[in-house]
Amino acid sequence: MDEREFDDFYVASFQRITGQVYAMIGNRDEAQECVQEAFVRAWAHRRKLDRAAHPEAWVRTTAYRLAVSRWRRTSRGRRPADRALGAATETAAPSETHVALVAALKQLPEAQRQALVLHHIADLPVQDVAREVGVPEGTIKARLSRGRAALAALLADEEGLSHA
Amino acid sequence: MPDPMDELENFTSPGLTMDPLPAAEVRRRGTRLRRRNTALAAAGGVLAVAVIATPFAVMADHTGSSEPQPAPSPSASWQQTIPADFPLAEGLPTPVDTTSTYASPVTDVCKGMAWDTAGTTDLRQATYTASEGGSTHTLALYSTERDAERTLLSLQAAAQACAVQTDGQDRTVELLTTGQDGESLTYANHYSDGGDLDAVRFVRAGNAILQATRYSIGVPAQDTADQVVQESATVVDSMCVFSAAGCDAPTNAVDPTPDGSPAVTTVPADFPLLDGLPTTAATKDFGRYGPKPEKGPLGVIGCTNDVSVAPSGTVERLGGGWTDPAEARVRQLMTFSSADEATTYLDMVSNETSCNPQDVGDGVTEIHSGAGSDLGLGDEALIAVTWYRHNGNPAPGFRITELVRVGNAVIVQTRTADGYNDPVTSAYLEQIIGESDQSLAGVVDAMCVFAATGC
Repeated sequence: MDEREFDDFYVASFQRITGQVYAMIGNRDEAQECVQEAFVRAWAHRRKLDRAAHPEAWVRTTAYRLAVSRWRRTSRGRRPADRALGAATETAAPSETHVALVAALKQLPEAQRQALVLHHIADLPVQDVAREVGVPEGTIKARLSRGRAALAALLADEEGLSHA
Repeated sequence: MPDPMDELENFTSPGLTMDPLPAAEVRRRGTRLRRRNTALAAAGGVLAVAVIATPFAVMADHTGSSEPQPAPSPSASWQQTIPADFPLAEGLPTPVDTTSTYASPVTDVCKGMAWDTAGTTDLRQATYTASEGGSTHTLALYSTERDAERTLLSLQAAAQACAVQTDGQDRTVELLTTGQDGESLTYANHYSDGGDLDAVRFVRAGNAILQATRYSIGVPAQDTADQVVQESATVVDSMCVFSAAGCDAPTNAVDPTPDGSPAVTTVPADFPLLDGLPTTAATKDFGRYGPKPEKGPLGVIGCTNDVSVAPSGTVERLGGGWTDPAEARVRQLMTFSSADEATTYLDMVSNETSCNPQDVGDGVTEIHSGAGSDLGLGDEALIAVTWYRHNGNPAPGFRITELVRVGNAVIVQTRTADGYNDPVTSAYLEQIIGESDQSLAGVVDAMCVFAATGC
């Protein structure tokens, strides 16, 4: 991948990948930073990227791992006062539906959320989700099934609360 | 409320202020990162060479008390050279560079993890170099099977200790599973939190040890390890030439009775169950006890410390042991109706004692090491060792469980020592495993009555 190809790849996919990672982790600023860092690493390892069948998946996986790693570090060392700071850095979403969806996604187990985002937002077939996550297809199908049910239940609760 | 799946599929990032760095700046940072990584790898390589020259035991406990032992004379029964036509490069991408010297293909995360190849009698390394990383197969022969076993045990202990020590850090060791038996070790060296890693796999057969490695980035560690298993499958199969049984032995070596007669299940009245145990008695309440028939089978402690792994289908049981204020050694001989059932029991114990390190509180970590035993003992054997680290340092106390099968009989020996003050270092582990093997030798000899070929 030469400079021009990399630049094209970067410009074309940055926003899309950031949106997907945002859906996975629920924090837009964090998603943007992690995707940025993943692209830096992509250029550092561009020969590896050349051989990757799905460069976008490579960047997305790296960004997600960075985000999870950051989250684990933060959650270990976080003091009560920091929680308020953390919440304040999340930009308010423009619509109630969007807020509810992101909030519901954040309540799902990590594996279910990742499967839902890759399949429904990144539009990957189950087979590709399984390859990217590194588990059998049956596992992804089960996670999707349970994730959809849980998401529906969470959104229904949210709706009930808002009506109440 | 709209359908949640419609919401998901139309998910966008409204309000997201996209202010990404210019592409040229991303590339500049990437180039700088690459230079930094290259410099770090070079520095790590120098360190690795220095570490390899140091005996493992000295590195591991820093006491310096374990003087390097002179290599024993090569035994004629173990191959001392690697056959010229051994397919070491099989499974690796091409081109492959083959040498007779060892250059560590990985940068170890913890001091003390380096594979010490100093005592090997022959070594060959096949390397596929990719633009970033690559894959390697390194095969080394030791003078005896016991030497190779000890080396693998040391590597297991070092990897487990490093996994505990680096948990939660950017550079960490992750223990992995590959569905293999206790004579292998697989782990990943994670070099950063960005997904760049080397998967490392060690496999032992007889007096040979294979190290197979593969570098990856953005691929889960377990997937990379599975690729290492695939790449090294042919080499591992070919390592049967170094095993005691050779390549003609059936893979599931349950000895049939030569004439098809029923297996012997009755324990002889004069069976020397206590042979090899100490004869001292601290007071009248301590010392040897038994042998005596026992109603139930002896349980083996599993990973959670409260689950006994007891076999079903035992026919006769003979128990006994030796106790002391500082430790207890318990033995039970069990007979099964067939060698198959005895083998199944060993497999079960092997599974139940393959445990991850556990934090047991107050800075204490419980570590479980599986190890092959001296195959000179019986038809098959296994050892499971539980030991401890306190704030990362070797701590006193251990439990060692050894099982040896001969035909349709299994001897189980557990040794639980909580009363000594000596910290359990890797050198100490080797010592107690050797003692366990040695103490059982007489009992195993007497178990020939259960062997397919008799005594």
